[in-house]
Amino acid sequence: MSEATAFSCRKAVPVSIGGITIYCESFRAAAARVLSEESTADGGTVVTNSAYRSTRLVFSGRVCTQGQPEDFILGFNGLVHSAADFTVEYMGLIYGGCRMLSYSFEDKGGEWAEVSVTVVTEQTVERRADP
Amino acid sequence: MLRDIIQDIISRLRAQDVTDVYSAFDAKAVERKGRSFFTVVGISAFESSAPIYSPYTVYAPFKAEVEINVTAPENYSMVQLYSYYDENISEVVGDMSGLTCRLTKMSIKFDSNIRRLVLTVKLAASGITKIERSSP
Repeated sequence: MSEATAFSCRKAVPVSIGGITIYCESFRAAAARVLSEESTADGGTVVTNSAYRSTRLVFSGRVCTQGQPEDFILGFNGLVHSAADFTVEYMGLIYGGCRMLSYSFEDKGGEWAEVSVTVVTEQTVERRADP
Repeated sequence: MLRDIIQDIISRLRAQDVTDVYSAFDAKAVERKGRSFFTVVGISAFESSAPIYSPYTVYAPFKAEVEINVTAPENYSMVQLYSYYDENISEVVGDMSGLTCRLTKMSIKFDSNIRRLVLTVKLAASGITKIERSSP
């Protein structure tokens, strides 16, 4: 049995969302399948339908209020209004057919603004092929 | 575990050609640390989280407050001490900075016992102890 102790030096990871790059500091992915259940006459249960729901990806990070933080609002707002889909790569995975669901940009009067972006995709996630 | 963390920082400092770096655990007298600049690395706080299990490894996450004390030679000014830090140690601290490690506090005081200025740098850091095990 061996033991090793080391610091972790995690850095914010750049992720391009519809052409806008944010440095992601936290990430959440969620997907689900929905089952429809009906009661039978004898008191049992039967599954009458089964369907998957889109995968939701939430990317959060901070944007420095110096520079041009308004570009993020402009870009993300444009993506909310657009029906076009795009591809997001993160953690070595490819999320194709993503559409913007929501974003938030919160400037609390400090040196940075909190940015959170939620995208959804119906497509299955694929591992990026190594070059 | 604590010695590994301190040794990690010492190795990073030595890799940047910082000389006279000591562990807070070595109990070496100040007189034996030389009349020039010397740096002591220690840990002022440590907190461990519940272990995370996988089939062949147990991961024990931790948070630590690392303390780096830089002692100036006698009669050196604050400016000279800060300059030494900027030129030799700040790069190591900068390289470690990220989501899990950052500089939290810097303070300078005169140690009347040794009559020398001491710069204290505190880092909030986190990491993982990996423990391999032979069976799930």
